[in-house]
Amino acid sequence: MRSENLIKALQSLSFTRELEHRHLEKLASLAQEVAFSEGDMIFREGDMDDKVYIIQEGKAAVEIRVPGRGRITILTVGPGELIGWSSLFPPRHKTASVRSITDTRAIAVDGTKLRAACEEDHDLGYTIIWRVAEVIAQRLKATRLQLVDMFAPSS
Amino acid sequence: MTPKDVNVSAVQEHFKSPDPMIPYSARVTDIKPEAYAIATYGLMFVDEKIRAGYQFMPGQFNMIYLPGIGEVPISISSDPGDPERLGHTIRYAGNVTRAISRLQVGDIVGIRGPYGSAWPVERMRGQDLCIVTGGIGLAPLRPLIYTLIRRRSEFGRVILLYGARTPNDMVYVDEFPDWETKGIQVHTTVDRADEHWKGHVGVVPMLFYHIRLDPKQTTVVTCGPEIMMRFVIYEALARRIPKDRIYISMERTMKCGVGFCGHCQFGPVFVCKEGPVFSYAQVEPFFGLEDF
Repeated sequence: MRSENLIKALQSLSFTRELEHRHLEKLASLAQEVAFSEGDMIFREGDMDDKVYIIQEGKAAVEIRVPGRGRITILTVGPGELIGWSSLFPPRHKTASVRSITDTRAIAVDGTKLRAACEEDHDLGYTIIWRVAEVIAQRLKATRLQLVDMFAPSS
Repeated sequence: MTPKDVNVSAVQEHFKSPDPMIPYSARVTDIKPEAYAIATYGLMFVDEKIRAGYQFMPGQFNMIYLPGIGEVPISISSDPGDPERLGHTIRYAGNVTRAISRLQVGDIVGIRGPYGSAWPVERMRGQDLCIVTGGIGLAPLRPLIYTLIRRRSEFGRVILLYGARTPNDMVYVDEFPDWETKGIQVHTTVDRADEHWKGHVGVVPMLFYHIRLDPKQTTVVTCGPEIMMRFVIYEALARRIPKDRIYISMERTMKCGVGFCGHCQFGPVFVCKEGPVFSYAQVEPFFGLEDF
């Protein structure tokens, strides 16, 4: 029953929408629902918690701590979006912190088990890594635009 | 190249100056600070006949003239339904605009216009509209938003995606709640947040990932820095919005406003005359190319 609910939840989220049912079942077997209150840290930069999260409800801020400037929010994420993807790739630690800005519910997937499942079933692996690549590509585009500071007054 | 679907020559005919280079006097009626170094100037023609005959369409611009200083093209940011009270939202960036920043209520400026093509409101009827803009780029879209609100039932969903460098760089923020109650979905984001900002952080083209568009019945309109519009176009095309239903407002150095001087040449077109509003289909061959 718990697994069926998780499968339903995954089907409704953009990151996992239209996955094959057997893949959804596998993901659900590696996942659990988690909740965070407003202001909670979901994970911190440098953490080795090895979990990736898909947000179900709420909003969270991706932050980087800059010496002398404190925590800088570089991006906010909401329902359907993936956070913590850096745990899937060496050196597997989190490359940014994520803090919930509202009460937030998410599906946490065990990264070690997910990597093993992707090795075992390359169809699942291809699908998951393709979707993760789309997320990273989207964030890269956004980062480039932030970098060029497109609204800076022209000289 | 003639932008058939955005030509507004009928309006330009209606308000025909005997000499297109002669400005008419207009009085500053009010000045509203909008953001850092940005303010909206209310202007009213001094001559009653000019005031009564003047009309413009959303997306057009006027040349604003300060005697002894110079002239600058500024988009009209007020309601086309109330053309007697003109609004121009101005960023103080060059000699003329810095001189404008020293104007006070009651001062006189020269205006000639309106010039240029307009957002193709009639072609948008029945469509969902996704308006994507950033910073002061919202100014030439505000007349479109007023028009859509006044004729709300003629259009499907209207979504405004608005970004700014920081929360302090946003314009017209005080109007957003009213727009939302009148059927405009407003999504905002900033590139850099401060500690008070509780909204979205990220660049404005990425807001496309937070909405769903039906490519069969959506028109995308965008105005802002060219780099922003380029990425907006990428996102619109990725969602299979046809090129002839993506509209952009181009910015180039404009001097005469009527296609005489050639300063604003953009490939085979003059932005002041055939633009500033173009469909992406019209400008695709040279949009985003270096040296264009």
